[in-house]
Amino acid sequence: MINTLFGRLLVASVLVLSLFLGLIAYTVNQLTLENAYETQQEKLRLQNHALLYSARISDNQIELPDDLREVRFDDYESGLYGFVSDIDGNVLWQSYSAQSLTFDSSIFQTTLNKPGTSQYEIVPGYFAYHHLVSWEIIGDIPQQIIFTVLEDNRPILENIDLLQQRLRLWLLIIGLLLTALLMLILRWGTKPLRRLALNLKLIESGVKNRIEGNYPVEFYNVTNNLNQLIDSERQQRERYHSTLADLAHSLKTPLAVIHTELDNTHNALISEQTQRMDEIIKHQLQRAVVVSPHGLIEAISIESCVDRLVSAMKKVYAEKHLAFEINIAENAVFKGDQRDLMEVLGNLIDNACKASNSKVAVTANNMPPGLNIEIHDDGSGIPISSRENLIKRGHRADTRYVGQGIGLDVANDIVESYNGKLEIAQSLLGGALIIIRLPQVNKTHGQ
Amino acid sequence: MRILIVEDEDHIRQQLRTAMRRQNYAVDVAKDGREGLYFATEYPYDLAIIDLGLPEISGITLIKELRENDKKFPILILTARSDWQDKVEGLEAGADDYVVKPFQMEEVNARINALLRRSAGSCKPSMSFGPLTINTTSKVALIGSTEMTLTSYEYNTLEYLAHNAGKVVSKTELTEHLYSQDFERDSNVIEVFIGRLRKKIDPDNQLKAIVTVRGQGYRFMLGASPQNSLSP
Repeated sequence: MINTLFGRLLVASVLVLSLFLGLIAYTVNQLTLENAYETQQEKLRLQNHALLYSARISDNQIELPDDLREVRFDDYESGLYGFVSDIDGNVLWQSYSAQSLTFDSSIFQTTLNKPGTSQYEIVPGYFAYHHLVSWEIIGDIPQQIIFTVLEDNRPILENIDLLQQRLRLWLLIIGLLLTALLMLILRWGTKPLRRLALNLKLIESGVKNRIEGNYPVEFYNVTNNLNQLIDSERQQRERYHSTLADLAHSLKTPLAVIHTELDNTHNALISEQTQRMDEIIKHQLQRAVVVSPHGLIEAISIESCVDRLVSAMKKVYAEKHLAFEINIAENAVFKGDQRDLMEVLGNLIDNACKASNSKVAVTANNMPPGLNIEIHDDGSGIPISSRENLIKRGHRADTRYVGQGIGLDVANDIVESYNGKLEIAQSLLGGALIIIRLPQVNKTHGQ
Repeated sequence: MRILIVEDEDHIRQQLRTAMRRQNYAVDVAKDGREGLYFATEYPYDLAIIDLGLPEISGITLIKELRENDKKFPILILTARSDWQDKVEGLEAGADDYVVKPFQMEEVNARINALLRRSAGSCKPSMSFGPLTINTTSKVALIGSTEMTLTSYEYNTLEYLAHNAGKVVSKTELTEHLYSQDFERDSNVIEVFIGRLRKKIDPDNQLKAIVTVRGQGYRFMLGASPQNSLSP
């Protein structure tokens, strides 16, 4: 998946989205905590000041009324506790709510040293708010005392924890929704690319021979240029064929005249040389026109090519009353020039017809590592000792095996130009078996 | 047998014409596709040799037009373009066989003989009708095992009648298939050939090989359904 454009964009988007949502979660969490602490600070400040305003000095002692404005000070273990202590941490007064509880004296020790100042802190289990005042409790000597309000922090922390859980859940839901939305956007955005890839695949598999459909402006030049490239390659090939066919015609007609005249004079040497010239022309022109296999070249159906050739052979070899057995797999296609395929199969089937007694069979299938075509005949076969020489490059025509003429050389040349291999074996029909093995051209990665 | 040769190259056309005449065929020649189409439309031929690379009308187009006009005689294509694409296109257009240039005349003769035999419904090089055997390759007729002494026109008349055994063949049809377009024709000559053939095949007039159908022509009666066999 990481090798597809869609996969890459999706992974990158999900990573960015996760980072974004993570930062949001962190920020919201921090803001929530800060807000909770500040709210708590303000609340405790007000309650501390309420205690302060309620306090009075009577008989050299700090006194607070039994009925305080904040009822939680008077409720047993309410979670809100009020204290008045001296600067050394000795408790001078505590609310009813704190009566049954024991508090560490360190809670009441602050760093405050200036009357009128406050300190807010979180101590284990509590939020604490201290306020330092200087009152003349005994005589005229000012005495520093601290008003402290503690509040149990567990309910608040539990609330914050619950809030954080909900926040995570919502962020996860939002993340999933955004990921799904991103996938839809990416699919929509990359649709032209996928269509282009599909079109290229269809061209490779031979279903189409051009890139069709409307594409975004950004792709127009790419598709247009690809179509032009495919067209110009095809036209160039046709021009080559046409020019070389004309050249062959121009060279072979005078050769035909010489050849026919030689029938009358019986000059064996000149006859042999003109024959060789003819073969050289055929051979070299054929080799000059063979195309280089590539992915965008159209795929040719083996079946239709074999059908056309067999119909032609039935006419040419009508007197032999040959039986043809054709077994071509549907996916058997040739990635190359139709003329090359026709030339290879034409030569080989023609040879098989010449050599056979009554039956010729052609089979083809397209299984890894590539295309396999077999041509069988029930003739006398090709001796093992002759097989290698028959398809050796540059092998002389006059040493060829009877029934397997120059056609085998031409076929071998074409097959080799497509990086394929031509093999000769013994057919189960009793005669020769010619096997063509062609690799798959430009197999798309990941398919 | 009358053959049409359509070939634009003068030398090859003349070589083919000479070779075909040597085989005792009546030969007409055309130097381009248009002329070839005219001849093939106007005259009855037993076979045509057509070059694929013709001026005016291409060989493939000419063959297609002939087949569309219901001309059923066999067609042998000559092609310098030896690739299978062109051969297959020619055969698909309606040709029956091909010869690639440069060719040997023996090969052309062999292909023509095979095509003529096929068009007559026979695939073997000899036809037997009772005691009469005709070898279309060596152009020899035998009575029993004795070779008949026939002139080329007598042989051609016999072969044409034998190819059409059982059918009535008019004098005009015989004339058109025995003589080329530029030949001075005389229908009385046909009567002379038939008379000579009767005497040579059947001196005692017992077999009655060729009968006259009054007002219509001649019918070859030996084995109305020709019995084919391998040449001896």
